[in-house]
Amino acid sequence: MTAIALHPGAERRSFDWIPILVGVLTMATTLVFLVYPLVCAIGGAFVPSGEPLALENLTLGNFERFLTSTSYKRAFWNSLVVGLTATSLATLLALPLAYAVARVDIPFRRAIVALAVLPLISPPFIGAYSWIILLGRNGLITRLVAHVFDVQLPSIYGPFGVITALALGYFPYVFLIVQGALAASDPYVEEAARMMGASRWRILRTITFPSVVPAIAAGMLIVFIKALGDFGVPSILGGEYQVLPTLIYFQIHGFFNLNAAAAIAMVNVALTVGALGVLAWVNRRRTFATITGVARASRRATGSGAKLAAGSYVAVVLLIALLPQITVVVSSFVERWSGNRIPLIWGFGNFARVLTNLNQPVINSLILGGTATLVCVVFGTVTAYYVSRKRFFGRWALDLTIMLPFVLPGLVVGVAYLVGFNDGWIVLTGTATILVLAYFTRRAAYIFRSVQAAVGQIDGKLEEASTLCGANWATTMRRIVVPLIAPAILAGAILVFATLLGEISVTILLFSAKWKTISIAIYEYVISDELHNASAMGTVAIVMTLVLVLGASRLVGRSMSEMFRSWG
Amino acid sequence: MNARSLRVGGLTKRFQLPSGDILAVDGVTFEVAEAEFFTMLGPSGCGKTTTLRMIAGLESPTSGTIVFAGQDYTRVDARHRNIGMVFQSYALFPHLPIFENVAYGLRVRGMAADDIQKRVTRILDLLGLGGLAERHPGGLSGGQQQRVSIARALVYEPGMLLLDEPLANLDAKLRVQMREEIRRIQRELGIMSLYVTHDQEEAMSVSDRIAVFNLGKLRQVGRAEEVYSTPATPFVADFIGKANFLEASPLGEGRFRLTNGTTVKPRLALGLPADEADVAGFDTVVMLRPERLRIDTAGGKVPCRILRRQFLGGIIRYSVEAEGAKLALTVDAPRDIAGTGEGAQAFLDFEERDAIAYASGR
Ligand SMILES: Nc1ncnc2c1ncn2[C@@H]1O[C@H](COP(=O)(O)OP(=O)(O)OP(=O)(O)O)[C@@H](O)[C@H]1O
Ligand SMILES: [Mg+2]
Repeated sequence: MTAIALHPGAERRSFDWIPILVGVLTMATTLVFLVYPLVCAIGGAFVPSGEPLALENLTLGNFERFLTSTSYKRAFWNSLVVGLTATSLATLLALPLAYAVARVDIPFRRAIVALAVLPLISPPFIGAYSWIILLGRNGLITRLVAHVFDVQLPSIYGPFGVITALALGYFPYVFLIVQGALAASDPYVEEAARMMGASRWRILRTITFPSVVPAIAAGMLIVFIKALGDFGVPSILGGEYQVLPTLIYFQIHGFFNLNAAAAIAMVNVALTVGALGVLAWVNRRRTFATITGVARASRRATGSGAKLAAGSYVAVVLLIALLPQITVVVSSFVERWSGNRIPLIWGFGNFARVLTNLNQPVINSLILGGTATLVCVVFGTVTAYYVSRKRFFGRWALDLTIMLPFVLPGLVVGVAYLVGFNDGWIVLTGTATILVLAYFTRRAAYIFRSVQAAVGQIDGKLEEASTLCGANWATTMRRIVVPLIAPAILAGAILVFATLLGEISVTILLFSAKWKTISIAIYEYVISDELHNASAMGTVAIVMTLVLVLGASRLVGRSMSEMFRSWG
Repeated sequence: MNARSLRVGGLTKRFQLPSGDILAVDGVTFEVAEAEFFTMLGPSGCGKTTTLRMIAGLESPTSGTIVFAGQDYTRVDARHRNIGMVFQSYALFPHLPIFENVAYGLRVRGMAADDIQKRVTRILDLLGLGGLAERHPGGLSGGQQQRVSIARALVYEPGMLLLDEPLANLDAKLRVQMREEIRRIQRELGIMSLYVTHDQEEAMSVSDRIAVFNLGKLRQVGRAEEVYSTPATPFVADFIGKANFLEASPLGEGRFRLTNGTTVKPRLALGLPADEADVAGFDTVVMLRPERLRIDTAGGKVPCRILRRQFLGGIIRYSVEAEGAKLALTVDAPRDIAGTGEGAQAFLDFEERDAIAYASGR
């Protein structure tokens, strides 16, 4: 046959190198910035302090201290106790709240759900130091109670304060997930039970509660992991009461003993992994799912008694949960208060002082957070697109990058980075780069999930249609795919940036004098007891994050609570 | 066939899955002429979409060739094939207005703005979409969206138009209207069209020729009348219209004995060895269309019993059981026959030239 070139533009199909490139890039990134430092840290945990990683140096000495040293043993048990009690307390607070909002016809339900997200948005350690303002030795409530009732309140420093602050800071995770499950569960099942003559209480106990057990378990797991890995709260409110993260910090800042820190970090991770195992076990034992084809919302109680009880409970819990944020904002406007029962002089002095003296941390936070966000956007978008659209061989690496930072507390990532990039092939200690990379490792998943969801919504035929119209890959991306996923990218980026503003547990280990951030500045104010300055800075951080997250939720057209439900 | 034809030769597609390989398309060969309306018909999962997607360049063949207008397209990138495609899900770009959706292919080709304006306006008018240029796809009805997707596929004057079940998402009435419209436009533009459907009525009403697929293989290609009156296999007979099968054994010289002893000489015997000596021992069936069977109370070729009688307006449909038929036979009679109530005994009769014998089973 004679070939007549009727279409001069016709070309041979070129080799599709982009998926290969993406695969290689993903794997390289994962290996260098996640696996490598982790392996170094794991190795470091098994050699004595100061010794190089070599076969003859291997020892269990760093772990031995968990059996011999009192402070280690204490920190381990304290962590376990804090994790478990904070999780239980958070669950006890959250379950009635979830039931009240999902199943009782109380007013302002939307607003309540939105407000409940606030503790998650503002940096968690802000909650901790506002409890000092209220209940500390010189606290507002402490002095009020002492004056009026002549009673000295017990100290909030120690386990009581830590557990309360963590529970109040993280209970919204349980609330949001369980409330979502309750609101979505099939009303017909409960109606069927009622038709069979079951009482309200019996329905709650035998039908409703079991159906949301997986949701409760998932929420509790998140709280447990967050509480176990939290550094800010115990370091501010713990006093002498040490937990694993503060112990790690102590080993590094007190002795610069990276090997001991690595060993503690491994124990910390082991606890988290154990919790994940328990969750998997709970979920395996209950394999049923609520099969629901109904577009009908679940039924809500309308009796005035139920409404009053539920409404009061919700109001009280929300008030307590938001008290820290309210306190921080109010106290940021107080010029001077020491010695007075009631603050007397109001004004913007704190802001003026903080912002003139401390514009460097703000600038640093913007630079570091902004760069990390940019890196997350590029990596997260490209990988999310390829995972959704093509098969490529770096899948395992990607799953690791997406899952691991969820399991690893920030301080653990910090330790791994210190160990991995302190000497050897890549030396980054003290640079801005190490902060950006650590942020990237911990936040890339946000963009990935956001974009993956968006790409999943796009019919793959759109890209095929574009190709058949004659567009090349770049044009299809630029004119079809990117415009369609842009809101999701932007929303993810805003969330990453907003949460990085309050990031402390990685930052505290990796920052250097030159690269002090907003969160470190607040932390230092708190430690040196300059609470009014801390409040002004904290207010700046709260307002910035709030505005940003609100903007993000507008962009993707989902409420903030939905974003946290899926990104927790 | 002429120079601007499409030739598909030995086209094969094997999907490799963890659970095992799937031979989705198995050695398909056909040719489509310039300006022809060619329909691929077959049950779900028979490989129609896969074949179409290989022609479009969206799927690469495991083996085989695709030659269009004398040029080998087998390994040409989809975007260089100059093909228009209409998807079942329309695949309109949701963020672009209708005008830009249609103009997309022209912009990609770097055409001047006023030429684009002229072309897009013309094609929108041709499809009766004149007033919708500024709207977004989200606000359009299913039928309008389908028209837009046809306009988008035609505006850059592609060498051929591929349509994969374009009407499946429309309601029954609109489906009939749209298929007539697609046919009108196809004639008007004289564009080669490959159309995928699993609706045999749709296929028969619009196509120049029909290709019947089953299990990844092409079973028959022909005009609607040909495929209906002379199906190449029992499958095709059963898939295109209704078919009745009576068991038979070959006697040689084109004659067959039915199970009740009657001997018939059908118009054709298909799938049997050419050599008369070898036909003995083959299992065969004789195929008859429902409207070619007659029920007679007085006598006929095969005795039968009437199971059910349905009045369907234009015809009376009988369901009968007869010796040598595994399933109930369907008989469509133009009018009622006296003495044929349910349960009555009667005879089936037919003209020998209406019967076709096939080798069955083995
Ligand atoms: N990308 C793919 N990967 C694996 N198997 C596939 C893929 N695409 C199609 N198949 C399989 O190939 C076979 C033929 O599929 P195809 O979509 O071509 O059928 P079809 O005739 O268009 O069916 P329908 O009428 O349901 O659209 C099916 O068994 C299908 O499951
Ligand atoms: Mg198909």
